[in-house]
Amino acid sequence: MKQKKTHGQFGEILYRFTRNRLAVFGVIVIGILIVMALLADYIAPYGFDEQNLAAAKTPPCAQYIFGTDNFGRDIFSRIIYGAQISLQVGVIAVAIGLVVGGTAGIFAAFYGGRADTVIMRFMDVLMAIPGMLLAISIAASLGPGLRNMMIAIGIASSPGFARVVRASFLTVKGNEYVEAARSIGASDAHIIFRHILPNAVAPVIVHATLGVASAILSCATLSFLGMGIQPPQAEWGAMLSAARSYLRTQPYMAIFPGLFIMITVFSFNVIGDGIRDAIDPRLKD
Amino acid sequence: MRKYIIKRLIMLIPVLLGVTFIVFLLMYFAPGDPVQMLLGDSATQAEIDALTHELGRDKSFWGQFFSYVGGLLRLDFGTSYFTKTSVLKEILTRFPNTVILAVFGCLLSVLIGISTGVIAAVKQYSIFDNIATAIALIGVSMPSFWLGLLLVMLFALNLKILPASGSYGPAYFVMPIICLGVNGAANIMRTTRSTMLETIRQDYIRTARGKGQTEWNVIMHHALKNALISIVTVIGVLFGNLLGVTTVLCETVFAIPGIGKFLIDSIGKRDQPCVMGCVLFMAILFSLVNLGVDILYSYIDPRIKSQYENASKVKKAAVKESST
Repeated sequence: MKQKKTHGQFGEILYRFTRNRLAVFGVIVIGILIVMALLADYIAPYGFDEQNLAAAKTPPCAQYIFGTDNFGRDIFSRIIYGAQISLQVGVIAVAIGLVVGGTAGIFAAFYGGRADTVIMRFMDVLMAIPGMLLAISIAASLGPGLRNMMIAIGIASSPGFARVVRASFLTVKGNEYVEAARSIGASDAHIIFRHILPNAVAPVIVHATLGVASAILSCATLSFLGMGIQPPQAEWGAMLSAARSYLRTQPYMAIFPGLFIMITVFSFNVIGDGIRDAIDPRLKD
Repeated sequence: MRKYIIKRLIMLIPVLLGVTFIVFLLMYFAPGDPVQMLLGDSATQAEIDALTHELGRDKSFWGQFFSYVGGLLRLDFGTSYFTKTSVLKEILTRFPNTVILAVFGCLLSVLIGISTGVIAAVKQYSIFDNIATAIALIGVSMPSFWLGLLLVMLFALNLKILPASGSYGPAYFVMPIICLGVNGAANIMRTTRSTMLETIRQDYIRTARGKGQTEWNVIMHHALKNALISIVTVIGVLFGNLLGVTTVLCETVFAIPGIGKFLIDSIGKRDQPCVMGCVLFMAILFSLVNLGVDILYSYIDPRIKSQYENASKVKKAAVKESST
């Protein structure tokens, strides 16, 4: 057998990841979407709320490649601006969930005993409400809007993060090098951040990547239900909601936003699966 | 076993009390005053005060919370601000629609999901496997409400064979059930395939083949039975979610009067007793389904059953062992 060059742990994982064609495809798609979102002002042919009533309900053509909606707004441009919102919500909501849930999970695992019981019982209560229902309830309480939606989705995802972080912390915590660090008098913070965290991070990264996918889906769902982004802001779920009245006459209005939600969620899912398989090839079928 | 079930049911009480508190807290601080909405802009301050008092909204947070919990103990979920009817009654009249959607959606998911998952695993890397896996991956990434809209466009507007929305007969439930079924099937298929692949490689499968069992027997009785625990977990989560929240979207898209649509309508009207009632009702269902799945485990896997039954014995033995 040919000897493979070793590149350290990270290099090895990266190598395995790049061998997964589907995952690489996902990275490319997300890369394009990020560029699209960042350069929206330069790429989008029209503004997201630029109305041209004379050209309302134009089917896809050379001038408007995805057609226009009932206000004569260019759907392609609105999808580009929608990418900004979806990606933003995906990343920030996961960050909120990670900070809230992760901190709780770390505390529960590291201090154990009563802290563990109290935190995890609280998480059990949150887990008794299905995630999306919790997000809907929090969004109903906070009111619509981008910021509130990110908080709602983030908080709703935090019990999941708490569980994953706690479980992976507990596995690492029992290792001898943690005991060694403790015996030379290292502080709690030092042990948590320098010894446990780097070794416990792998399952958390996987969960977070898949979390971005479900956060984007939740964002579209809440907006579709009218509890997220409000018009005239361009958001894919809200665009689908608006398209419902024109299914018979302007079906393209409902097709493109949905297609973009699906591609984005799909890409994050395959990236998450790819990272999982690369980190632990045993899990791969 | 009965002891275990009773214990789990008792453990459910503090959890549901916690859920009630969280939901109550969220609704208490929800923006917008329902009293103002009920009376309109022309209401005088005296009218507003009178209605606020009538609805019990002038009490302190804890006063309102405890009177709500007190009501729950008497199975009183409160009264709708708008229709003045009992919230529980409103929920129960809509409940059958949600149950039909959840049960049939789940059945369809299980039928498609398990059969394609098993075939895909048995014929790994075949054309069927590749296509089924790809479709499943797309299925889990597809927003269910978008799928619903696509189905409406295809079956109701183009082919004109199914009604687009409403609930006036069995035909109105076909599309919503397909919509829920496709999404669920994708999930179940993925789990079935990966656990079956794991199981097929076990030694006891080789033993079964070695002693001359037919391939059908090996797959159905030896492999699938052992893979069932993970599959049932996914089905349980799916069914709990179906009852708890997935149907919300489906009911909204297809305008089916179920609990989910009632919840969204109530949020729009700021009818807080109804919102709270719906969320609580769904959370209770969700918890009961989870409990049901845990109990089901013991029937699928006798090892788990003996674990439940011997839990106290095992614990005592473990304590003894660790102390020596």
